[in-house]
Order: sequence, then C-alpha cells, then structure tokens
Amino acid sequence: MDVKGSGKKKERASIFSQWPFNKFGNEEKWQQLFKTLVITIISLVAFLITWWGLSELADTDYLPDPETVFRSFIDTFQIRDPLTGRNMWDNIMASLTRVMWGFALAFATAVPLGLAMGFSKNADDFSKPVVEVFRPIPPIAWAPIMILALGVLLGPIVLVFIGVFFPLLSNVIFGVRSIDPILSDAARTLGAKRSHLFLKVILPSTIPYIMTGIRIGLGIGWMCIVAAEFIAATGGGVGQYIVFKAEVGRYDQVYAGLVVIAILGLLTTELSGYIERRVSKRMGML
Amino acid sequence: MDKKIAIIAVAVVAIVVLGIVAITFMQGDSDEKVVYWVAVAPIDQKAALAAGTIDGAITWEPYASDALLSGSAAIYKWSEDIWEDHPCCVVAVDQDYLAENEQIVLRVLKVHQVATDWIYETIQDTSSDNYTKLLDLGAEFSQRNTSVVASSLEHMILTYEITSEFEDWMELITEKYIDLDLIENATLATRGYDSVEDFVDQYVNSSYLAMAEDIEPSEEILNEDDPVRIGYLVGDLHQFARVIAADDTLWGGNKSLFEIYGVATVTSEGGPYANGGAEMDAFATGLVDIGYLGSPPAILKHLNAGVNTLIVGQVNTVGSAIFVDPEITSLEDFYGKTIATPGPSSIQHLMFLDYFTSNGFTVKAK
Repeated sequence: MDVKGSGKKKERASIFSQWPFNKFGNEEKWQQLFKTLVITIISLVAFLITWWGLSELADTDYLPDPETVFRSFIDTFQIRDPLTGRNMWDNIMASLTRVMWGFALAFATAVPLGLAMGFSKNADDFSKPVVEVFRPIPPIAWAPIMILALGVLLGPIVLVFIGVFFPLLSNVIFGVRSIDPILSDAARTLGAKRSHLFLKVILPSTIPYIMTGIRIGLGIGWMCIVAAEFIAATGGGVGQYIVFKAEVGRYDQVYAGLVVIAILGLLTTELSGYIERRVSKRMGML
Repeated sequence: MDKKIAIIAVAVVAIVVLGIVAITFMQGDSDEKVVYWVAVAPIDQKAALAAGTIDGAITWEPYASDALLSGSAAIYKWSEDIWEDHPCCVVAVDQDYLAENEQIVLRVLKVHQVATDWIYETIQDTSSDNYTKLLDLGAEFSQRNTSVVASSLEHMILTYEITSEFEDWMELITEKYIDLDLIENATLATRGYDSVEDFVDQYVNSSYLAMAEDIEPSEEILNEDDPVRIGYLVGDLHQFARVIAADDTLWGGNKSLFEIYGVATVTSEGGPYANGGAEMDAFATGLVDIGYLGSPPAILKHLNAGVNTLIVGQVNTVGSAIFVDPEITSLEDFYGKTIATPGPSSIQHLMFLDYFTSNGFTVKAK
C-alpha cells in the first residue's frame, strides 16, 4: 500500500538521482545539503519578515526596514562618506589590517608561550600567575586605557592582541596536555630526546587545538576592534563608521555597518573553522 | 606535516604580513596644507595631547581651561575669535511632553532664566561669597578645580534668549550640514519642512521663554509624583545654570530653585550624557523630558532620526577653544598635525572644519 505522500518523496528522490547530483555519487549528502539550504533560506526569510514587521510596527528611524538598510549597505561601498572621505572598502581594510596585526602579534606570542606552559611545569609555574591575573579581564575593558596609553594607531591593535591572545594560549596549553601519554611514552621508548618529543610529537598534535584557538580568538578579535574603533581610531574602520553615523543620526547607515561586521565576522570564523576542520581531519582527529 | 604544506603556509603568512605592512605604511599623505582630525571625547583630549596622540584639540569648557591651566597646552584660539557669538548649547524639550505639561516646561524655563541671570550678576563681583560658592559648585560638577571654573566663566557667555541672530546661525548650521551631506536635502521635506528657513521657524520657538517671564515662585509643587526628567552633559560648564538651579544651599529654605518655582526634577535615566547625540537618543527612547545639549546634535538628530524635540531656549554662546601643543603658534605650524574634535555632530567640529578650510587647509579624517 502506498503511504500518503510517499509518491512525492519518490519524485524528490528521483531529482537527486539525476545529473548533476549523482555526479559525485553521494545522493544522501546532496539531499541533506538541499534540506539545509531550504531551511536556511526559510530562516533568513522569516528573519527579514520579522524585521520588516517590527520596523513597520515601531515606525521609527531607529529601526529602518530591511530595504532601506540594503540600499544604505550598497551606498556605503559606492559613495565616499562626506565626513571621512572613505567608502566601506576603506573601512573594511582599516579594520582588517588592525585585526590581522593584532592576530599576528597574538599568534607569535601565545603559541610559543602556550607550548612552553603546556610542556614545562617550570614555565607554567612562572607564567601562570601573571596570565591568570590578566585572563579574566574582558578585552574591551582595556579599550579606553590602551587607546590613551598607546595611541589611536597602536591601541586598537593591542586590544585585538589581548582578545586573541588568551583563547589561543588556553587552547595551546590544553592541546599540549591532551596528548595521549602512550604517544609520548612510545616516542621515548624509541629513543626520542626531549627536543624530538617536542618537535615530532607535541607540536604537530597541538596544531588542531591552535586552529580552534585561532577560530575563537578571531571572533573575539572582531568584537575588540569594533569596540576600540568606537572610542578612537585613525585610518577609518567599520566601528568608527558606525559610531560617526550614530552620532549624526543616520541609523540606516549604522545598520549597514552592523551588517558589514556580521558578514566579516561570519566569513572570518567560517574560514578559520574550515581550516580547523581540514587540519583536524588531516591530523586524524575527525 | 608535509614540507610542501609548511612552505605554502610560510609563504601565505609572509604575503599577509607584507600586505599589512604595505597597507599600513602606504597610507601617508603629503603634509602640505593638510590638517587631520580625529574624534576624541573632550574629557580624554588633554591626556591624548600629553601622550602625543594628538597635536591639539577643539573643545568646550571646562576642558579648554583645564588644558591651559595644566601648563601642558596653550590656547591657539578661543572660539569667539573664530566665530563671534557662535551658538552652542540650547534647552530642548520633548514635544509630546510639552503638549501635556506646558506649565512645567514654562517653570523650568523660568528657573533657567533666573539661574542664568544670577550667574551673570555673581561673576561681576569676584570677591563675593556667592562667587566663591559658584566656583565650588562648578568645581564639584565638572570635577575640575576652582581656577579652571573661574577661567571657564571668563570665556563663555551664558544666556537664554532666542535672538534673531541665533535663528540665523541655526539656518547657517543646517545649510552647512546639507552642504556637507550630513543631512540629505530631501530630509527636510520628509520631516514636513518646506525649506531651511521654515525648519528653523518651526524648530526654534521663542514663545515659551516669553511666557515663562510671568511665572512666579510657587509653594505648591506641580509635579510632586512625576518629576520632570532633565538631561544634561557630563561636566559641561556651558550648562552651569542647571547646576546652580539644582543646588539647595543657594536659594534659602533648603530648597532648589526648581522647588522654589514649584517643579520637581530628576536627572534623566542614563544621564548625564557624554555628548548631545547620546542625549538626543535618550530623548528618542523617552528618557528625557527637557534637556541641555548642543544645538548641532539637536538639529542633526531631529532631522535625520526624527527625534521629536523643540528648541525653546539658548544656554550659552561661545565658550570653546582650540588648545594645542605649546610649540604650535601659527597657522603654518598646523601643517600635517592632528587635531581632536569632540565628534562630527558638535559645533566645535563644524568650527574646526570652517576655520581650517577658510584658511586654505585641506581637512582630512585621520
């Protein structure tokens, strides 16, 4: 007996068995992907309808409708801001530059320190008191001091550094300490010296954890740079753009700036997440 | 890890780092006849100058006098030398509140008049007890010493009357914002105004001040259970009249001037505010009934964001300054220098743009 609706199901299934879906020979995977895509689209449409409805209901310039924000979003890339002479590309580059500098500094310091703290008890005992004092302080709390002490150029970069440093450090330490003792014992049994153990066993095994730290740290880094640019920055920046636009009451453009941050944050974390998954897979951790 | 992957990884990192370095160092401009601006809150400007982050700042009182008397800065120009009698802070009122509470608004305006007149009379005799008390109150409010307050009082004109000159300046400011594209031309029509002149005619209303003239002190508090929520800016001595009106040691009977005129007041939630833009946002969210703030943010947020306010009185004219590193003594010394402004919606920012562009400078955001 044919169950109600099963005919439609068969019809849908036959679509997936056709070209190009079957080219990859994984019908179920494509079905799942299609389902995810449909749910994602429904979710986004529902979000836009809710936003539009709330905007109509509130009837205030503080909550413009999606269409107005979309138009402003496009304009920010095409028209130079009369206040600063910059368009959104310039602001994105300014923010990205700061994030990358802060990230590079954090990477260069947190990874070696984390490896040392995870590997050597003496290094851990020496560094831990200072690290534990500073780690609980929210990075954004440093913003006013950093910008006054280090200036509007270096201050935001150091703020990103603080934001990325601690999650990266914690993950590296955790990675070193998560190494299977059997691996270390086996290496020692085979005659590996301490330096060999570090370079051949510990360092490679920690890479997936470093990637996780990078992914988390970059997310926090974005929050920090926007906060820093709210207070002061030179050379533009998406945060600075938002604060200036809020100050002059152009809330459609403020929302456009928020959309840019959301997209950049999403791209950054998705990209680092993708690299993390690839590395983990390669290291046999997935 | 494969050697190949390691090489690619190193190459990618090297390219990224080189790119960052290139972007960072290729952003420089020729410093010829260029002056840069950066937004720094007035309260932080003196420290930013000391840290070498900026070369000067344009700011309001007491921060200009504070920088001057600290010895680390020199005043390049007082604002009255840049723009004679320029407008600055105003009293704005929420239009819905005004419609339902006109008597309260009139009483607050009367208090504003009396307090302003009292300050004006008091500063004529700097040896009087009232003058000493005035300085103490200013010092407490602004968190600066009495010398800074005294210097501030010398450089600002506290007032309340809405003059035709003030209305002309409001038109000029609005036109400048339209020229700068900070207000779109179509916005005037969107808000129901035919022209800039029509906007100022409707948005600036002197009739309430005139009506307030007749208000007398009252034993009865009109709004005992529903105090009027007054917004003002952090430590801004332009708004000194409100400070002394709220004090209950100056007027006798342990009453504030507001109480003497039968009005209960309270500082609005979230206040005092860092700048006029933030105060206008508080107006928009229904937290402020009557506020002291700069006229430019009032104009910008009324037109751009539809904040339903009305300007009903002046608070001060002039009272700002450009303070600089003492090594800057002439216009030529500003080449390539960075000057902080309180932000793009301030009258100080507008003055800064106007002063340097009219002197042949290209003004750029840093």
